[in-house]
Amino acid sequence: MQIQDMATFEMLAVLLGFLSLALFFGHRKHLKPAIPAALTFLASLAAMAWLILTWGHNFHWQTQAPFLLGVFPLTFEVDGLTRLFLLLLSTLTCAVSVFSPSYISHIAAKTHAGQYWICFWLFIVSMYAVVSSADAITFLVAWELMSLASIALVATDHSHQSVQKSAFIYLGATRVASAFLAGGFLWMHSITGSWTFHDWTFCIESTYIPAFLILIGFCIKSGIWPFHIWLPYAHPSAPASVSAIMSGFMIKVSVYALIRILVFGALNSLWIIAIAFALSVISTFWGVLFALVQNDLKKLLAYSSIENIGLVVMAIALSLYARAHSLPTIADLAIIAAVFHSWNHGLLKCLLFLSAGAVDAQAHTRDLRSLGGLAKRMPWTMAFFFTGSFAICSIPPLNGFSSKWLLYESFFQNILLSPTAIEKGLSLAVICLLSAVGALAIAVFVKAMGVGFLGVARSKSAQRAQEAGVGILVAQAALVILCVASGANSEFVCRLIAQSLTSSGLKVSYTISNGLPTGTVAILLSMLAASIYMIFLKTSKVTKYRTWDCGFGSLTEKTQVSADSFAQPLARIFRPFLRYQNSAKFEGADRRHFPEEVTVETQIISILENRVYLPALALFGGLAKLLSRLQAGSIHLYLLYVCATLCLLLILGMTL
Amino acid sequence: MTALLHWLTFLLSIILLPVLTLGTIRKTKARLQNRIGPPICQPIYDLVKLSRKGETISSTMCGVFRLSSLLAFADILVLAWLTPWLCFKPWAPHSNIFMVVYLFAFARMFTLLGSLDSGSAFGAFSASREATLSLLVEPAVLLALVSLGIFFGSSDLRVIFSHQTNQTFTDSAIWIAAGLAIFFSSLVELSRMPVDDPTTHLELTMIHEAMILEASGRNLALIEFAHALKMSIFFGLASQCFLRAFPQFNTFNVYSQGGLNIVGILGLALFVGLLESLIVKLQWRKVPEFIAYILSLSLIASLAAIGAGVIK
Amino acid sequence: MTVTATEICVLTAALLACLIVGSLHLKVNLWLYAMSTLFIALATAAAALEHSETGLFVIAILIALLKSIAIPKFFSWAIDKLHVYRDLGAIIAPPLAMHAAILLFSLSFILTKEIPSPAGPGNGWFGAAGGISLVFTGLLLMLTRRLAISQIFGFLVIENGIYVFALTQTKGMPLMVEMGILLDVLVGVMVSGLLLFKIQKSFEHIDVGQLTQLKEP
Repeated sequence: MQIQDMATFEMLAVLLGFLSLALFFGHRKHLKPAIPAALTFLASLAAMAWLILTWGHNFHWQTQAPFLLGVFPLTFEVDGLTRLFLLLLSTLTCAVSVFSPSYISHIAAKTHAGQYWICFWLFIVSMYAVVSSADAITFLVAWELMSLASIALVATDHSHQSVQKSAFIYLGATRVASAFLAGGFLWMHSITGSWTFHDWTFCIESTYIPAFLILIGFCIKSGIWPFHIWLPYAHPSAPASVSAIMSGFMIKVSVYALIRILVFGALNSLWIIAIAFALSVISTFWGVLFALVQNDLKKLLAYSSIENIGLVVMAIALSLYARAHSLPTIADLAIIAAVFHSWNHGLLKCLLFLSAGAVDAQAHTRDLRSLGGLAKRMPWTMAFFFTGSFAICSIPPLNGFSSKWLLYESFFQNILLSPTAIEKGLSLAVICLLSAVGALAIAVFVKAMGVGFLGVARSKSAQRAQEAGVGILVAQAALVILCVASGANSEFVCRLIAQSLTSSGLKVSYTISNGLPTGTVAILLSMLAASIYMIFLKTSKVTKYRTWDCGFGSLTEKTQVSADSFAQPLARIFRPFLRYQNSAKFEGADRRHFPEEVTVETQIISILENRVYLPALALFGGLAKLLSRLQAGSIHLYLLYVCATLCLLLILGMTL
Repeated sequence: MTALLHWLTFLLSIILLPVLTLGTIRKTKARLQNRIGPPICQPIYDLVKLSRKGETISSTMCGVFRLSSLLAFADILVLAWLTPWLCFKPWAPHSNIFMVVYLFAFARMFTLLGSLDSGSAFGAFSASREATLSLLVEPAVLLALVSLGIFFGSSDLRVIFSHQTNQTFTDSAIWIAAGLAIFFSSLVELSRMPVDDPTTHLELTMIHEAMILEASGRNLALIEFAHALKMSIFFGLASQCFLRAFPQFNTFNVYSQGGLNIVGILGLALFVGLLESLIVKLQWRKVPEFIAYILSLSLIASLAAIGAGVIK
Repeated sequence: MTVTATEICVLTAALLACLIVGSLHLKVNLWLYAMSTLFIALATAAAALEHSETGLFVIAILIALLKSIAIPKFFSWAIDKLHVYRDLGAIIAPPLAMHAAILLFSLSFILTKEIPSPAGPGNGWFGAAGGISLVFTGLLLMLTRRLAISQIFGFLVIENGIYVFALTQTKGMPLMVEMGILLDVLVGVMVSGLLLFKIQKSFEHIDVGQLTQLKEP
């Protein structure tokens, strides 16, 4: 049997399997989550095994006659780069499917189980399809499926008004993104006459506008400033298992596509690269800044995703720039940094969202203002969340550092190698900004960790929290192990990425002669810490007493730092960006010395939302109102429209 | 035999230099206040005393507090192994600039977490302030090191600090600018005088001291020693920058270089003592202005390094 | 590439001027201005040595006496009289403005690279860059401040820049012209100082930002 036929056969099998599963599960509102989760786990495991077993081989499939889309065959290709991303996807789905059973049982009352699982499967299958698609038509079809399935998943808990709003905003964003993409793809087709990504190059001037359209489309979908608005709405509204995949992988699909289309297509328009670079720099800064002032744990993570996607797109832009100026070492470093950081961020964000989900399920709130003191009640979740936070703050020797270091190093090399002073100065400014962003990220995650997990519980529900179920913990533990392992073996991973990129057609070599001693540092650190603990700290006599309260006594949960007050000194510095306002009101007869009531209110106004998007929406709403006059409800009028259109077409047809 | 000697001197300086640095600062301040002051070795006695005492911790705390001081200490030890803060280190590992900066961030992050563990408002407010300061000062530290990296064409501190300086004006200027930037930003990183008063006893104005308010006994000993070691590392880097600004420094042999290095560290400690006797703590709102000047120094150093590269 | 003593002094002066932008304290500004001008005087003296012109020596001494001692003394007295010690700052925060000034400082090197210089290739580039940078810094200072007195500081820095540019590009102007300019500056400063008192007296502030209230509605 030929490979073509086999692939067709497999597609048929997947479709049939999917249909039967849909028929079997789809209508059930209540369902034991273990069964579909186990199915997902097995399927993801099989996919992972296949990806690892066939490592190094490239596959190219084209569907045959009955499975055409109109006249177009669906084309799929799995090469080195695809394999890397698919491996990430299968890892994440494995973890999430282990996580799901105990998590879903917490939110079972609010969800239609059959609907949830069908959408979840559709979401994952479409992501496999979109990453392995080799032509624009297949890509767009799978992309639409992915978007729609994820919208349905965001709206899982659709009885809430806020969730409906989030789903609508997300829906709007995906529509606009798809419009840009479709425009770009069609344009490219008319230029090159081919739908296949391999045939597209962006070296000549006529391809610059479609390249720009494609870039904007992917920027919208990956949450780059100023199109990031949907992300902090969609991620918190979705169930944790979904937002873990969405933030962990779905926004990386855009990154993958940017690499596949623009980097492989050797885009060399300076303007487009500069736009991508500027947008990514702004979103890095913007994301971390807004993460700082969030009180919702998942919203905070969503903003942090914006920051990290900014870092990845920055690396891609640098790589494009360096390749256009024939500085291959920098281009290679930057593209490896982009892929590696996508990997790391995928693992980390999945881990953090799962932890946040565990907290949400146990403490019944994600609001940092009513969390606290979870460390004693959920020690494992705390350990996993802390490790994830350390890694995402790029603290060595964890994996977040390795990729961020590559980014730093490529900008540093750019200072050394690029010919003009302006470029050197810009790279220096970016290094400066990156370090400030890194310090801000530390503040963000210390706030999340310290206010969320340490201290005393700030509410009854946080006080009653219990350690999450085994599945939830195992899923997080697996991700933590992966993070630590890929951090300690960053050298190996970098070589692997370079090799995969080369095998898919982009010549990339990893040229760092002496890599980072992350492994040594990890070993040394743990050995030193263990030995000091055994010799010095373990034998120390420990007495427990109250927290120091200046002798006044009566420390309560209210006297602790709040999420707002922790961020206040930093937020004050960035008042112009955040529109940060902190107002305090003291009431009572002797307000100055013995206030009876103190109210403090912190307010942040999103300029982008209020000044740009709302007016734009209002404008569109007005235009739509004008158009809606056409719809009068009278059948005669509609018949008149049809008649008029027909006449018009006839006249046009005669004259042309 | 020489290798063994190198090892011994290095280990001795890891143990003794931090203590002597701290002692020198205290002694200088005491002398300038017309007091005799404690002996220079007093910090050793303090540490020994602390390690004999039992610990009292808050009942709110979980393991994070003790773990944080332990890991921060281990991390600073790793940094002492990694960074070329002494020119007579027995081995020279690959110490990347960005890695060093982020390892310092590692220690800081754990200190912040440790201060939040007790649920005390003092610890938390100082943690919030420390996070603010670190945001402001981290670019300054990084740019100071990067300026050296740009000038010598490598992001490896080992390569930078073993470079044979030429007799040109720009070499010296960049060494001095970077050294000044490292030194002044170390004052912020170490919570020394213009930013934070290490001898203050009012919780509301403390930064570093309030973060470690709950620490006692051996735990406190670890934190204090880690802090002193961090100080020596920073002063070591800064003093080497100043020494290498003189081209003659390269012509000396290892022993006199090492001696000068140690003298440099203690000299900087003396200078800190002098500074702390002469100036007052800045108002919290004025601190960003001070740090902005440090960042300007780093910026000048790195732009000069870029300029030198372009002209060459 | 050799750097002459004049150029080192000029660049130091330009950097010191950049630091003025970073602080809102008028006394600190004044002190930094005095230091910067002192370095310009030193640069003039060094140029006098290089070209062995005695006229430049006289100018150097005059600058040191008038611009770096007399004018700061006068303003220090004026500040005490006016009881205004701190500017309010406008548009961007002073620390950021200082960093911008330093960036403009490095940008001025790129801008002045192509200026044809009379004294052979490569010579006079750094001096010209220092002069242009001083002009930029002065403009930035005027842009980011609200008090009238800071506007005068900005003007003085610009004047320094123009002088430095002339000094490094043309080996200085004739003695009489220079002395005339110095006298002009001195008189200008005195007049503006007196005006300051007048403004303070009639409006009870010297905030330039409030000039917008004069606009016809």
